[in-house]
Amino acid sequence: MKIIDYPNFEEKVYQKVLSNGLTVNLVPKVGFHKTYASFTVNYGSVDSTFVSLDDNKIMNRPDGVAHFLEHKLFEKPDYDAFELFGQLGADSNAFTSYTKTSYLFSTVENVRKCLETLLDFVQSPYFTKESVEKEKGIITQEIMMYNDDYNWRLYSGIVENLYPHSPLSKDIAGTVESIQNISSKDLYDCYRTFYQPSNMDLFVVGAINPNEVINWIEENQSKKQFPSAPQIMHSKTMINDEYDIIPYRTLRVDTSRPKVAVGIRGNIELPAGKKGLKYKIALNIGMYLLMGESSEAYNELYDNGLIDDSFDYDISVGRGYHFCVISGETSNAEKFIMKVTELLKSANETISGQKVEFVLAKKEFIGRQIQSMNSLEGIANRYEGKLFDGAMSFDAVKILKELKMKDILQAIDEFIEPDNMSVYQVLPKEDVD
Amino acid sequence: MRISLNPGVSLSLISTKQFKTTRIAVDLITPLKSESLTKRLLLASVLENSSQKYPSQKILSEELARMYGAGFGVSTERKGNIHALSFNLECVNEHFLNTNSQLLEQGINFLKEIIFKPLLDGNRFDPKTFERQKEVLADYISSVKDDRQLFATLELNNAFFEDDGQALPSFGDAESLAKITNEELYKYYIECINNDQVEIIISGDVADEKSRKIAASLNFSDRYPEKVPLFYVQSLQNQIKERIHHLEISQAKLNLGYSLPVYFQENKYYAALVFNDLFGGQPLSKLFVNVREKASLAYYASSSYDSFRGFLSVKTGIEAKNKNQVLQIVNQQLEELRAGNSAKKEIETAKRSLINSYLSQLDHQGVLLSRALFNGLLNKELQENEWIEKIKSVTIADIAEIAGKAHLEAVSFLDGKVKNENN
Repeated sequence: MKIIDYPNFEEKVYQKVLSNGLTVNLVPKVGFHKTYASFTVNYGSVDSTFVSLDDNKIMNRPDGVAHFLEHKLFEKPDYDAFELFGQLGADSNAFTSYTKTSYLFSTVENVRKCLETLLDFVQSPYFTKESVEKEKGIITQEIMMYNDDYNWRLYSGIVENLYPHSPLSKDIAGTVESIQNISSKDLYDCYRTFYQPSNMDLFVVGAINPNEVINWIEENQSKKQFPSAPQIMHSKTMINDEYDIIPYRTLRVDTSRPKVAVGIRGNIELPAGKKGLKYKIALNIGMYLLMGESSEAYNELYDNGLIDDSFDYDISVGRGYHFCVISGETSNAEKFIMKVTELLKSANETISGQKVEFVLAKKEFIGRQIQSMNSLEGIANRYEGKLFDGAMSFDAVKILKELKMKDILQAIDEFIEPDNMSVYQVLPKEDVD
Repeated sequence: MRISLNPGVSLSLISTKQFKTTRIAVDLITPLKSESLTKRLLLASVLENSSQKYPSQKILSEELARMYGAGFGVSTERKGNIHALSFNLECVNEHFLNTNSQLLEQGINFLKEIIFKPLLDGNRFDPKTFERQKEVLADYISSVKDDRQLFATLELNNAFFEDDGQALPSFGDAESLAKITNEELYKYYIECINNDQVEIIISGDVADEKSRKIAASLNFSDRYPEKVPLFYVQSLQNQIKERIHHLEISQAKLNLGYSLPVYFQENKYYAALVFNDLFGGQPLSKLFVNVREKASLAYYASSSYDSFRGFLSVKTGIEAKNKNQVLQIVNQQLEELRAGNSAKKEIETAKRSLINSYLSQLDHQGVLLSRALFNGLLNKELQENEWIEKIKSVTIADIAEIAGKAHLEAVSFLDGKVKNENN
């Protein structure tokens, strides 16, 4: 087992790639009561089109299939994994994102049994026609719940603008219509293609002894047979070249205040490995200097009543995509859009003048990174696997310390272009412009 | 450990090496009054956004950045019959930074500035800050309806509680906000600073002596605050009060409010916790399993129990046409619990889940602060083992007795008159 030591933070990471290809990361946390484990497959909502393992043909599966599979994996012929965790005293959950599906538990007792339950239930698919049909009702309600959430509509609206006709433009859960077409065969096909140990990782953090835990895991894995692992072809970019960015759309609903999102799409390919993490951090600092709470622009917009505490920018980085969404509620959508767009267009100039602020920003980011080490979930969920070449949240501090102003300017320069921006608004009905 | 610094001012210490941060909370406690709901929140926003030394958000944020991104906030919380105004600061323990900065000292000095030296204009707050924060709060209040789940919850509260201070949302209402003048808010601030009970809580790798020195340096004057019972108690209502709204919405929300007159850390409190866990407190509970999993009628169906107000509430997101069926299933779950029809395995699972979450919470520094506050106010602190033993000793008869006490008194229902449309 490889040990990566972070003496400054009094943390250690124990790492091993098992013979079946599964990557295991273990982080013991002294003084903690809880153990948190996350079993993740590098497969998410964007992977509904893939190359068949049998005949190399392109397969299309209904939108929402990864999320559907996540729901159904808990159910077994003779038990329900969720219930089993409960009986062991653990909480369990799962979530699906654009590019990942994670199954997790947290517990203060029965860690070994919980780990075995996690590995076993994820590694033994069982889907029937009946149970698939029943799940459709539940997922339909879930989709409808999100439909009433206007912040969610705003976010998915802007992403759809940025990536028209691409898998990213589709809701993670699919649509009420698309999920009606999901069959148990679809679930098996997707499972077989993506749920291979070499396409997965297990992260365990908390009150553990790593040497003991790795033995438990290896013993469990050695009892199982996995079919040989064919190469999975992930597409390099989520951008569909046939369609341009949709510059502007508006949704009118029964809301009392306008909500606006300005999106920026990264058109370059994300640098590979740890450089990708460095790029992501540089973008975050760049945006912070441009419109974070201590920036002049933020203060001006806030004092003039154009933004309030709901104002935020969020940089999303994943396999095949990276984009930024700047959003907030406002009393004047038009001015909000104008100001934010102006700010983005002169980003480099504005940022390059902020030498003092940059030093402060680095301090703040370093401090925040260390604060996040208090959270087991934070440590595990920030792990991005292959995307950042296995970087841990502990590595981010070193990257931050070495970061130069020119790195920020270069990242911002590559990222922001006038023609990769878009606007999406959710406006009240009576507000006619 | 909780010690009295001077009359009306206490300090609780949670000394631990578990975290990489030190947290300080300064809580000002006063009896809840309906007319102060909005005022207290507005005061929190004004104090959070400026001070004499840090007159703008920009300068204030920069100071926090200088302290390695210290977390800071001023907030209010309504709990039972009391209303807290809390100043919170979280900073990294210098030990994990290569720096000579004394972050804890810096932090406490920062808090002193915020609490005692607000940005003033004579006998009122800086008008710019005051007006802007009033506007921000008004915008927030006006947009609450946009969050359907929250709106359904607020409507249920409003129907259920008799007392205005409990029935209104914790942020108050637009009318009282509009009436608050700057001068009046400043007067209220002076009252809070001089008269409210003060609870200071420090958690982190800090020696007791140092904590004591730091807390004492805040220099709160002696005070003799009015003592009120911590718990809000309401007599049983005979009628079910119903609130119905038709909104543009694709998923209907059905919320139910029950009186459950069992209070925090009373003898029956532990049985009430187990009851709630069995009923709808977590995803293996009867509500989730029967409403969602078996009948496929909802995405969410859960219950929560407010032990400071003797209040049990149920939340569901359903299709409007299934309202009666859902009501019936919910009621049936309660009947089952009343009849003592819980499998031994279910009860064991509920107890384990409660113990798991109780112990897990010890890994969250923020929760430790909040537990210390309420234990301090009650002057009662249970050891981990005692708490666990009390949960373990709950019997099926105890649970049935609690279920028997739950009494439906309010319903709120939002349904979608119009189908959702896409752009």
